[in-house]
Amino acid sequence: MKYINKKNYDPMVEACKNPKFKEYYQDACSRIDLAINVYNFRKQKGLSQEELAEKASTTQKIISKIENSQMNVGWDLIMRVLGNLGLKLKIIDSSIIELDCTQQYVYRILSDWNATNSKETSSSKSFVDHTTPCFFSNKLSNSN
Amino acid sequence: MKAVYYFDIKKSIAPAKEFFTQYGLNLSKDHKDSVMAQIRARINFTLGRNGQAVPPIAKTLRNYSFFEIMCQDGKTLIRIFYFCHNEEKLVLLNALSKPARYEKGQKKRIVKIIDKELNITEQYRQNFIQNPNHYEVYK
Repeated sequence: MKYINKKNYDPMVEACKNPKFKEYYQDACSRIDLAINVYNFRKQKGLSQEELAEKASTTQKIISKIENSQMNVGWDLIMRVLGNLGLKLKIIDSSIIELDCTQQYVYRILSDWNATNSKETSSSKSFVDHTTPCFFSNKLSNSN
Repeated sequence: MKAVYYFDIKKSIAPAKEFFTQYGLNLSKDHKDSVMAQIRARINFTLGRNGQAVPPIAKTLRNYSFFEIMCQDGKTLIRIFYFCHNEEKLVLLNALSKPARYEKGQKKRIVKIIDKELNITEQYRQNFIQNPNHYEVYK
């Protein structure tokens, strides 16, 4: 293995200089958000990864990968997994959410009880009030 | 709360930072930066939860007084060990990589290495508690 011994070398700072870094970071955030939600709601429903996989017509390995935020999830699969957890996916304009992020899209997963308030989601205030705290509230400016 | 790297005076390195540096050496630039972005996202997520280990991103370790953040890169699992000091600092103590799945006959050897690293990390934690100024800023 090669060895670098630069006293002032900071791999994180170096990585941040890459123009693609922000994109990588946002992808990672989206996957973490999805992973946390799938894990939490699966536990809440008392399902094992195998049971959820069976319901969603996929394999335990795939569920594990989602929960490890390790893979890009296809639309059909994500809908099946979330559907079996009693969740639905909404794609919304990030500008209506009062968050410090510049993303063009945000995955927002609403639970069953939030879904009952869906009529109110047209106003940004009620949307924010009724949804669960979201990972995206972390400032993306930290990535710079 | 802010994140810092524990700095080991004897070795003159920050073990976690050193691991990130060495891990990236054998990867292409984009791959390395993608892994760093994943690690950064997990650290920032944990910071956002005041250092609480939230599964499946992070977890507590049995028999140890620190936590681990997990990050999978293909067939390799990166484990980053940290603890929270006085609810002010999230101290990145150490990190290691291991195969996500063990090959036949390899498990015993790797588990032994990991146990050794965990004990070293526990020592780092105690060193930091004794000398809380021994750290490097996480940028």
